[in-house]
Order: sequence, then C-alpha cells, then structure tokens
Amino acid sequence: MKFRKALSTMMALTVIGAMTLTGCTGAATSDAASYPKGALEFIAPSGAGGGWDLTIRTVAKVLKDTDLVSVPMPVTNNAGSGGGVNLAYMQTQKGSEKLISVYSPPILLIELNGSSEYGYENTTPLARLITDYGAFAVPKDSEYKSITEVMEALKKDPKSVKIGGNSAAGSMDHIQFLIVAKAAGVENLKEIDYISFQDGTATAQILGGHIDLLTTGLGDIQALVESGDLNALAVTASERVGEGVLAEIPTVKEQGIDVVFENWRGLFGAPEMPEHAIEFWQDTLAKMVETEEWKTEAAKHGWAEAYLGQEDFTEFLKKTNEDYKVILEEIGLLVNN
Amino acid sequence: MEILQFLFDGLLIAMQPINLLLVTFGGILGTIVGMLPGLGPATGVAVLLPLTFSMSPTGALITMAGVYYGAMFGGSRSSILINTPGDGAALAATFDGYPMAMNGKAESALAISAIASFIGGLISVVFLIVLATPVARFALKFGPAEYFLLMVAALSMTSSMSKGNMLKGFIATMIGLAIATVGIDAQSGISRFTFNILELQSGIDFLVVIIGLYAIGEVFKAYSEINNGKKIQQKKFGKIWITKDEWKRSWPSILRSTPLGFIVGALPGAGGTMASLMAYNNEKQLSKTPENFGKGEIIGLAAPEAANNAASVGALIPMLTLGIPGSGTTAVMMGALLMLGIQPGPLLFTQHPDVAWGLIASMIIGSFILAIVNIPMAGILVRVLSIPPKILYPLVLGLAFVGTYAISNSVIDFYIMIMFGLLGYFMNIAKIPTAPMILAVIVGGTMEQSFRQATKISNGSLEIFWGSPLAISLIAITIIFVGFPMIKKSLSKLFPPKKAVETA
Amino acid sequence: MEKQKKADFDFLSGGISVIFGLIYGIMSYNLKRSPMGDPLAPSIFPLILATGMVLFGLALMFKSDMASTKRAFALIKEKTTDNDILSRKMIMLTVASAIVYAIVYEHLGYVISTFFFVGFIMTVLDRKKIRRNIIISFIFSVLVYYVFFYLLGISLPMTPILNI
Repeated sequence: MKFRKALSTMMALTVIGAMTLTGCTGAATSDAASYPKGALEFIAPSGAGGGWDLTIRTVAKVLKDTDLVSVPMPVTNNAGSGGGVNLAYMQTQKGSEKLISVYSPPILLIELNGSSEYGYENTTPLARLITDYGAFAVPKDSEYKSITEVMEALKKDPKSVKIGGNSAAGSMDHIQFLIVAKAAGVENLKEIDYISFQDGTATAQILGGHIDLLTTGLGDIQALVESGDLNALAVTASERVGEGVLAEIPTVKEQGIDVVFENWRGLFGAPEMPEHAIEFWQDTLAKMVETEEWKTEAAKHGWAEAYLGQEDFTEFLKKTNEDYKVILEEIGLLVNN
Repeated sequence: MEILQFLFDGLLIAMQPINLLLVTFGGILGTIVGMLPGLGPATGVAVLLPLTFSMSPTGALITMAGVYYGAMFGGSRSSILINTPGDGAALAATFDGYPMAMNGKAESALAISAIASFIGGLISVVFLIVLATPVARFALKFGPAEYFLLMVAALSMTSSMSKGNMLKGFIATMIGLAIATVGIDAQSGISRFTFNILELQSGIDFLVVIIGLYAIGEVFKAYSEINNGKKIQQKKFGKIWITKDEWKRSWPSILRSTPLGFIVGALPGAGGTMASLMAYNNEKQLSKTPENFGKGEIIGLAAPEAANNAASVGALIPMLTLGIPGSGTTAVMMGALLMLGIQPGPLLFTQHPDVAWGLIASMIIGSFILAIVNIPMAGILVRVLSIPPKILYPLVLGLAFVGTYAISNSVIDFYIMIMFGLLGYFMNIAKIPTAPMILAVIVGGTMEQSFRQATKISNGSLEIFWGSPLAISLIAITIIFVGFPMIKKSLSKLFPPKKAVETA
Repeated sequence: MEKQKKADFDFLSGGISVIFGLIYGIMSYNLKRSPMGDPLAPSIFPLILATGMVLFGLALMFKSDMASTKRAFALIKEKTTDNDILSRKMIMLTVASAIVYAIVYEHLGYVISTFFFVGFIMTVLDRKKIRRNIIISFIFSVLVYYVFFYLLGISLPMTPILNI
C-alpha cells in the first residue's frame, strides 16, 4: 500500500509544518528610537483607482519624495463591504506599528447602519488630511434652478423628486442629501425616494434624465459641469470652492440652508498602536501637509486641505458620528450594536 | 478632416520607439495577467497604477492600453487550453474553445481567438473614432427599465443554451439569481443571506462561481479520465493558424459580433461578459447547425472573442466622453487618469487631445503588436497540453485558488469555490446545465436592482417598462429570441428532416 | 425509447429544488423589513425566486418519478468500475485537502501551504514520483508567490518567521 503510505507522509508533514510555524508568528518589535524600521503596511480599503486608494497612494508618494519617511511604503488594496473587511482585518493587527489605512465618512456609517461591527473607536485615528464636498446636480434642462426649489418640491410631495446616487441606501451620497434636506426643513425624510446605482452609473442616469437629482462628490461631476451637461445646484461646503466653473456653484448655506457636509479623509492606524508610532505620525503628517509637494498634489486633485491632528480629529469623529446617528435614526437605518 | 489630423498626431506619438516598447511590454504583461484565472484587465491595469506616478501621462496611458488589450487577448487562452476562463469575458470562449482543444484543434482555436480578437478590436477602434458621441448618447437612453429588459433578454437567451430540458435550465437560472441576491441590498441598505459573514456583504463574486464550476469542476472530471487512461497529452503540435475553410466560416460571425459587442460594451455596467455571451447565443440562433455548438464549433469561439474585444473598446466610450466608468477596468483606468491630473469627461478631447488620441492610436498599434506577439506566444502556450495531466491538473487547482484569493483577498471565497466545484460535479451527473446558472449570477444583481430602481422612479407603476421606444424594442427582441427556437422546433416537427436526430 | 428504461435524477433534482426553494423562501420572508419605502421590497424578488424553484422543482418531479431516480442510482452502482471509485476517492481527498488548505492558508503563508497542497494533490494522482512532485510543487509555489507579490503587487499571505 505504497499509496496510503505516501499520503500519510504528506499529511504528517503538513501537520508538523502547521504546528511548528503557526506557533511562532510573533512580529519583531522595534524600539521607539529607530521607528519606522522595515516596510510599512499602507492599506486602501477599496479597489485600485478609488478615492481612498488615490489618497493613500498620494500620501505615500509625498512622504517618499520629501524624505519624511525613508522606509518602503507599499500600498495594498483590501477591498470589501465598504471598508468593513479592512476594519475587521485591522482588529487582527492590534498593536501593530506598521499598519496605516485611510478612511472617510463611511467608517462611521458602516458601523451605524450595522454593516460592520467595528467603527472608528476600533482604530487609532491619526490625522484628518483633506476634505472633499458633496454636490447636487440636475440635467441642464431641469425645471429646478436652485436647491431651495428642490426642497420646496419635496416638502409638498416627497415623491416628486427622484434622488439618485452611487452609494447604497444609508451610505454617503444618501446621507449627505438627507442632512441638507433635514436642515432645509423637509420632514418625512423616510418618504424621499433615494435610488442607488452601482459602478458609478448614477451619473449616466442623470445625464439621460432618468432621475431628477444626482447627489455625489463634487469631483465626480466637475467635468460635466464644466462642459455644461449638468447644472450643479449646490455644493455642501461652508464657502465656495475651487476656481472657474466650480467657484460659480453656490453653497447650500448661501441659499439659506445652514448646514455643511464634508467628505473628509483621514489616516487611521491599527487599534492600540504603540505610543511612539502615534507620536511619529503626529509629527510627520503635520510636517507633510506643510510641504510644497503635498500642496501641489492636493491642488491637482481638487482636495481642500483640512488637517486636524490626532486629538482634534478624534473629537471631530465623535461629533460627526452623533450627527450621522440622528439622520440614520430618522430613516430607520440605525442599528444599535 | 480635423479628426484625421488628430489621429495622425496620435499615431506619431504612439509610434515613437519608447512608446512602441511600452505598448509591447504592456501587451505581454496583460496577456499573462489575463491568462491567470481570476485576474482580468482590471487587475492588470491596477498593477500598473503605482508605476504611473513616475511616467508621463501619455506613456502611462499607452502602457495601460496595452495591458487592457493584452488581457482581453489572454483571457481566452486558459479558457481554450484548460477550460478555465481568465475572467468573465472569456467565459464564452470555454463553450467551444475547450472542445476544440480536446478534439486536437487547439492550434486553430488559439489562432481564431487571436484573429477574431484582432479584427473585433480593430474595427471597434474605428467605430470609437467615428461614433463615440452618438453611441454615448444612445447609451444614455438606457434607464433602469431598459437595463432590466436588457437583462431579461440576456437571460431568456440562455433558455436556448440549456440543452435538452428547459425545466432544468429554469431551475439553474433561479438558483443563479438566488446566489446574486446575497449581500447588501443597495436600494434598502439591508444585508441579505449573509449569515453574518462580513465578506459576503459585498456579494458572491461571479468569478468565484465561474472558477469553482469550471476550473474545479474540470479537475474533478479530469480525475476519472486520468484513471480511465483516457486523458493523454498531446505530443505533436501544428502551426498556429486556421484553414481556409475555417476562415470562410468564421468571418461573417466575426463581423456580426463586433458591432454587437461594441454597443453592449458601451453601456455602462453591461460589459464584456454580457457582450460575448450575447454574441455566442446570437450565432447559435442564426446557425443552420446549432447542435454543433458546444462541441467545438469554430464559429462559437470566433463570435464571443470578437465581441469581447469590441466590448472592451466600447467600454472606453462612457469613460472618455462622459467621465463615467462603466466597468471595473475603466474605473481603474479613470483612477489612473485622475492620478495623472487628467479629468476624463466631455472636454477631454478638447482639453487633452494628445492624451485622448494617443490612447486611441495606441489601441490601433496595440492590436497589431498583440496579434503579432500572440501567434508565436500561442505556439508556446499550446504546449501546456503536453504537460502530463497528473501534473497539469494539480497546478490548475493551485492557480484556481491563487486567482480566487486575488479577487478579494478572502479565504471565504475558497470555501465558496469548493462548494461550487462540487455543485458543478453533481449538476453534471444530474444533467443540469451550468451555463444558465452562471449567466444568472452575472446579471441577477443588476436585474433585480434595476427593476426596483425603475419602480421607485415610476412610483410603483409598471408602465415604465414599456414607456419608451427603446423598451418596446427590447421586449420585441426578447420575444423574437424566445419565440424563434420554438417556431423552428415546430417547423421541423411539421417538416421532419430526412434523418431523424437522436436527442439525449 | 421505452418508458421503463428511463433513468435520470430528475425526481431527486426536482425535490432538492423544492426543498431549497422552501428554505430560501422562508429566509426571504424573514429578512429585515426595509425601513424606507415598501417594507417588503428587499424580500419580493427572493420570494419570486423561491416560488419559481418550488414550482419548477415540482414540475420536474411530476415529469419524472421516484423509480427512475432509483434506476439511475442502480445504473451508476452497476456501471461503477474500480477506476470510478478511485476517482471519487480522489475528489473527496481533494475537497478535504482544499478545506485544510483554506484553514492554514493565512497562518502558514502562501508558499508553505501551497507547497503542501499542490504536492499532496500531485501525490494523490501519482504516488510513485514523490521526488518529482516535491520539486514541482516547490517551484510552483515559489514562482507564483514571486510573480504575484513582486511583479503584480498582489499581496499573498507572507511566510511566517522569514517574513517575505
């Protein structure tokens, strides 16, 4: 029975191998002075090419170009479940000094709507870097000429304006619109029809006139507003942003709706990140945002600089989390966990 | 003739030695990435992302075009040789490509796949130059209702694909659609059938299903053939080329499938998989000998291959003209453009003509280079069949697993893949067709979501589904497709052919 | 084609479809209700599918009968050769080792787990050439890791201790 014997040999080898190797996977710890030592682990919780990916790759590039960090910073993509998969992964790397990830409002939303059991408290917030803003656009021949007209129509009949966006219900695009609608005094937020599209196709739907209003990031519609195919009714910034056509888009505040929605992006370390690593990043990131290289990159991508250090950022997250909670509660998507 | 001037400038840029080198490098890299199961053009382009930081915009784009194109060429290599599609768009190439290889015609299969890809791609680039704007306009007419009807059309076509028993085809379709409902429901934000597994929230990737059913299923099938001594390696290889007769039979279907693939590819969210499957079905319907399909019919390989490359060119239209990524790959390409500080959109052609036309020109050059590179490369690849099966199939297993892991870095997918491998094995025993199930997994999500999007827009009224001329024409197409085989069947019953064909 | 000789698994397949449809249907009905819009909206499509599975399953069961499924089993038993038994054993071994592979994959790292997995499957298929199997599976796992990690930049689980 040579066959059996060979098989059992292989099996035994596997088991022995498994036992010896899983036992000793302890990561080598380095002392505070020489941090960072060895390659870091930069993670984009989305696929390549998305906003998170772009941000963390830009950070890595600037840090390298400015010699603020001289160890390798390979970026990996750990996509899935709106960032939830990576959040769960981060829990397995407790105390890691190497892991740096990027997040934006969804890190709060996915915990609040119950799609992730972890939230920002299960990470080490390091710094808020930039912010983008939400924008609301209609086709060029739309009957709506201002965001207040839309809100008035919704107050009369919440079904009269069909809102479309690129994220799932209860996520970014939806929430940013509801925050503005609530501030404008629209009741029955639940009754408003939000239609979710995949793969960024909501933009095609608004161009084809299949939906009435598109809620999305300002960057996503920039080109179409410049070309005149879309009419941007409002941007959710506190004051006008950018230049040229973008600067012509009024803020919601100007139109009497006193609210701001920021699509901020910040860096997060693994939970229980060692103190010396936190200090290093505090210091390094504060320096980075002051460099010319960073400013050039930010301008290129149309990001507004919005640096907040670790303490302020944590405070900011706490407050924002409460704001989102209210909205999600109102539309019944809040999950208490 | 401003366009010709721009195109000429673009060609001049693409013909610079360094750019020729880049497109060749990209093409070869893309072909290799495309061949690996689970890795498609999206991964290939993503691999390049970090490099684009240090390249000139044009150079980066040209390399990317090469990778994108190469992956489309490469995707079907593994479909033909080991029945394992590299990505969704290469799925249809397994239907007849693999049987061809098993019949000892691997050389013809590889050749026709390269030729059809080349012709389909090249014609589509011409379409892209001439028709980009009107096609983009046309694509915008597709609202949720039209998308729903398009998915229904695609699904109903599979009824013709299920050999023998329609009922079993329907059951397979239902199960496939059920698989597509796993994950977070975008319209309500509620997670469905996820069993509290985080990884399932984004749904089951159809590639995992395909790799499970095809690669793993093929390995299981191969075991019994190995044991029965039926599986023997091919020792002699001919030239990678096709006969005159094969060419005569293939070219009309290539020409028919190209525009079809181009249009379907241009619809944001539809993509190469749909395009190639629709082309396959279309040719099967038109064929006088549909019973040969699935048994190594060269047309059944030429058509989806042409359509799939045409679709990959068509998919660039929403990105270039509107700044909308219509597929995973174009989303990555758009990300790369953004990194280079270029905003794709309606003004791209006026603001950055060098980039836009450089890209188009490099696709033309890329087609030629890839066709030239691919034929000798196929000559090497075909020798995969000379690897003893006892070594080849364990390696196929290994590749299937690593490819699956690359899709979403999750071991959960391993279990899902094993399950589908076993399911495929049992479905084969019970003679239940797997093709309708796969198509259902692919279109299921969009089908349900667009139905609900449409009814939300119409406040619950179903009239939206026949509210536009486009919707009505889609309904008509579906009726013709479903009705045609029935009419043909009843006609052949009325006028029985001379020789009664034994049905299984 | 005489009726008596009909042997197929349709009755069983139909039955499985009915059972699966019922379970899926119950799960669909028990999904969380949508707080916005129609509360049943997320359940409707799955419920339609469940109904379809049950109906088509029943239809398939009625078209065939239990006897033909029994015959089909008998036929398989009758036709089974030693080779078929061997093949089935191989499939079971493959599935079992694939599950072990999935369990140890992220702990042992790509190279080691794949080396054992591929090597094991090769040995299952060809137990005589162990040395060849070891060499090939070693080359395969290292090569794939190298290509994915260094050339394609796709991260695979690292080898512990060595940390590469």
